[in-house]
Amino acid sequence: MRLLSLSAWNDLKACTDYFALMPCDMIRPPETGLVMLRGRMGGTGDAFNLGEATVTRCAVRLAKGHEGHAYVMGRNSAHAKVAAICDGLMQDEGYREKVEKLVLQPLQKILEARRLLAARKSAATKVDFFTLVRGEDD
Amino acid sequence: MTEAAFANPAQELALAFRPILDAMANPGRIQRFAPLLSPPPGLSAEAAAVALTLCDFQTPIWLGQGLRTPAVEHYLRFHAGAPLTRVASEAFFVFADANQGVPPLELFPKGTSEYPDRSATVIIQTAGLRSDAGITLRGPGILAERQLAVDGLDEDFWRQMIVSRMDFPLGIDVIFVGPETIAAVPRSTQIHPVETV
Repeated sequence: MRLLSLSAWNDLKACTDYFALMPCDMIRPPETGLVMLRGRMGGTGDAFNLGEATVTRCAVRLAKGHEGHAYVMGRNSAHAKVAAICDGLMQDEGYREKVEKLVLQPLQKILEARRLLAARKSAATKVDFFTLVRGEDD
Repeated sequence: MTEAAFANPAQELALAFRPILDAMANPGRIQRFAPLLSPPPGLSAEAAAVALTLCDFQTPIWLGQGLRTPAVEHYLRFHAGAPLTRVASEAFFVFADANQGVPPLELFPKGTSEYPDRSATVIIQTAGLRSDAGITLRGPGILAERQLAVDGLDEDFWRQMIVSRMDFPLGIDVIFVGPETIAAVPRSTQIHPVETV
């Protein structure tokens, strides 16, 4: 689910062409709303409201009765729908491996590459602060 | 298995809200109310529409006999996002079926003097509503008087209704839903049972 939600729509679309057309009933058609993001200062302080994020959610029922649910950031209802279909297919023994191989693994690779690139870019601009001479000590 | 709710929530919820509002504003007048829903067995489409329209995560729901099934509970939790409670005094909305027995109204909160709005709204699904017999209603929203008969409810229920509004402005508001119909008896309406000879 994390992979399906975090992936860019273009990447997801490219590897789910085949699954996106699966017949399914909408339990909850894609709908967009806001969720409140909460944070903790330093990871330990009191929780406070950081801000709101746009989220689209969707729930589908596939032909065999498996129910898939998805929440994705943003307003892309197609993204939420495809993610929900993949979630439902993952519960179907006959499809799990296919989804794993055709969708999740490629997405994992793309995300990992993105993460590395971002890490490299920020590492290149890293500045180490240290004090050579304080001066006022003597 | 999760049943679907409204296909176009924004429009259909607005369409459902209007008859509920009109029913409350015109106590005892039977409104046409035909939501396109297929909720799980036990819960009528009309009652489900009221739940989806009025209930959310801040309004605990209490379910009566015949409605307390896993399917109905899951449906309300999933689509209305409402918490379900077994503690009657915590309920904001109560759903009951007239044919399965309506719980004693005194179990549910009728508000406090400071906050009369913190009271329960009871939704009763019935086999039918009629306006040519039954109890007589008077009060705000009714020109002279109005009659309402609700299938499956006995005299004892109406006696409880009368008792429930003795502490006005505290009290319990009741919505009746029948097949493709809805009517309401808010707490401001006076109830006069038909004298039995």
